[in-house]
Amino acid sequence: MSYKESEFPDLIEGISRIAEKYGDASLTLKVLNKVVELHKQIPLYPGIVGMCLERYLQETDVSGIRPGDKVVCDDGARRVVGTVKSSGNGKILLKDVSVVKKDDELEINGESIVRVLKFKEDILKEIWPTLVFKEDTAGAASK
Amino acid sequence: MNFKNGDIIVVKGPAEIKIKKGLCSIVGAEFKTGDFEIHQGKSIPVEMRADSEVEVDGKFDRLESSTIPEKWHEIAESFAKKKPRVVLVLGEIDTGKTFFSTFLANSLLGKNIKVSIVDCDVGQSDIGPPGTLGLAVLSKPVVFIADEKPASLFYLGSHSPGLHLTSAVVGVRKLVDEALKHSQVVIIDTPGWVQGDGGRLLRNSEIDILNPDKIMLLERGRELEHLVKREPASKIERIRVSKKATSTTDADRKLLREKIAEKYYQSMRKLEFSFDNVTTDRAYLLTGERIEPCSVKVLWAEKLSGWEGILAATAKPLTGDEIAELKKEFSVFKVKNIVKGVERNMVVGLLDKDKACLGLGIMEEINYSSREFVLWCPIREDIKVKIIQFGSIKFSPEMKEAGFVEPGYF
Repeated sequence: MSYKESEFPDLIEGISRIAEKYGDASLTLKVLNKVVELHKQIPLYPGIVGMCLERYLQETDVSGIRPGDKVVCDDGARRVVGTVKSSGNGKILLKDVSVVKKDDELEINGESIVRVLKFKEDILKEIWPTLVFKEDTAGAASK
Repeated sequence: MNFKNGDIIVVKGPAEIKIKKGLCSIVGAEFKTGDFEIHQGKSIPVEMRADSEVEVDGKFDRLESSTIPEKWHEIAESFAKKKPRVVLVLGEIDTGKTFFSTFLANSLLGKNIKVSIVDCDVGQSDIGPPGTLGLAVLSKPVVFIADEKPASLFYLGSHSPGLHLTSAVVGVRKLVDEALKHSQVVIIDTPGWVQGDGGRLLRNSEIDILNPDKIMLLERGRELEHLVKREPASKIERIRVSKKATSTTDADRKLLREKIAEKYYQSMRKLEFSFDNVTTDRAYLLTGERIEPCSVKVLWAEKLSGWEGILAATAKPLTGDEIAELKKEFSVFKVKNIVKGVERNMVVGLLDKDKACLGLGIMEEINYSSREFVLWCPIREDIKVKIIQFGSIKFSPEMKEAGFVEPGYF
């Protein structure tokens, strides 16, 4: 074992925990944007960015929400990310809304697609193949 | 105000003490007269060794017993006899490391032993401005080592060694080497970062590279033991942290840094250093071959080494298309973009031909058309400056901390 010479690995671990916990792209993207914003503010302190990240998303009641707050609301069927425009009488009006809906399968008409981006899951193998190890030899410590 | 022999007070900053008559012991040194300023966030015990007249402009409390434990005196006596060459002082934050280091230095000086202190706490530099490791070669007793003029500096480029671990280790070795030329005993006052990967790595590396004769552990419990498991027991001296050790808030630390910076950067003047007369350190800028791109308008460009690609300084951030154009024009994979203005208020080290730090400066601008670095700095030996050493911290002209530059940006 050796010591880490930077706190960046902990930061990546923090991002990974959030992505795993909430598991949807728009929310994870918001978190990543915050990481980038904080890193630009304090590039010398990745550990502090990580500490901020852990507390970035906080559970709150509907009554604790104020106009201007950026929120994630989950009503069981869908998850909505947006900025509170107004709230009262038990209702919240959001703006800049993105709705995350999960489907098991979805058929899309190829003609209606204007752009497709494909995830290259084996990107490390393409860029630096000698750093790709067989799963059974990499061991738990590298995960 | 008149005090009796044996009275003990602790004065809390901001305050001023004026010893007018009598004899007072402060941090292991005895003073018959003297004026001392205590900054906010600091406090200092004053023990009367005779009936004394002392003016205190500020708050103070009376104490029943000395803040200096008997064991400290025993250690000072022992060190005066054995003269360990290198003494490393370790402790968590707010454990009184600087107070102990100063006490030990004053006690040894009192026995005519030549002493230096190397201050490695870049976040709370006492010797030299924030962001530096400093060396003070003591010629007389001191109350605050911050009042000593640094004999030598090493610019780390940051308030924290976190992303500058290698430089931090190089710096302490360089300053200890320098100190050993002037002193019989060198005391190294370290920061309170003693845990986690970085803390363990840095403190262990210091122990490895300095091979200290004595390691002082200022402990509340056993929180430092992990650092000395590998060391022979004969090297270790354990000291229980005084319950009277005071804590300093983050806000007070920032204020203290700004006060020290204000003092250091007073009487600055504007200087220009031509690209032709200086080289850069800890930067890509001015380390490659000058190129003149045709595809994109730039202020300055260089071909860097191998896969580093090219460096392009521009007035505004390059767009994706512009980066693609430059990659194509020079057949490279990487374009390092430096945007004009990011350098403003960046603190830089000014080194002579032997890489000794002459002082620090604050960058006003990098003027690519006149090929000059424009800096504000307090040093007088500007003719000796041969190297501009880049850093990651910024100070505004009002001497306020003003943010950071990402390491590796330039």
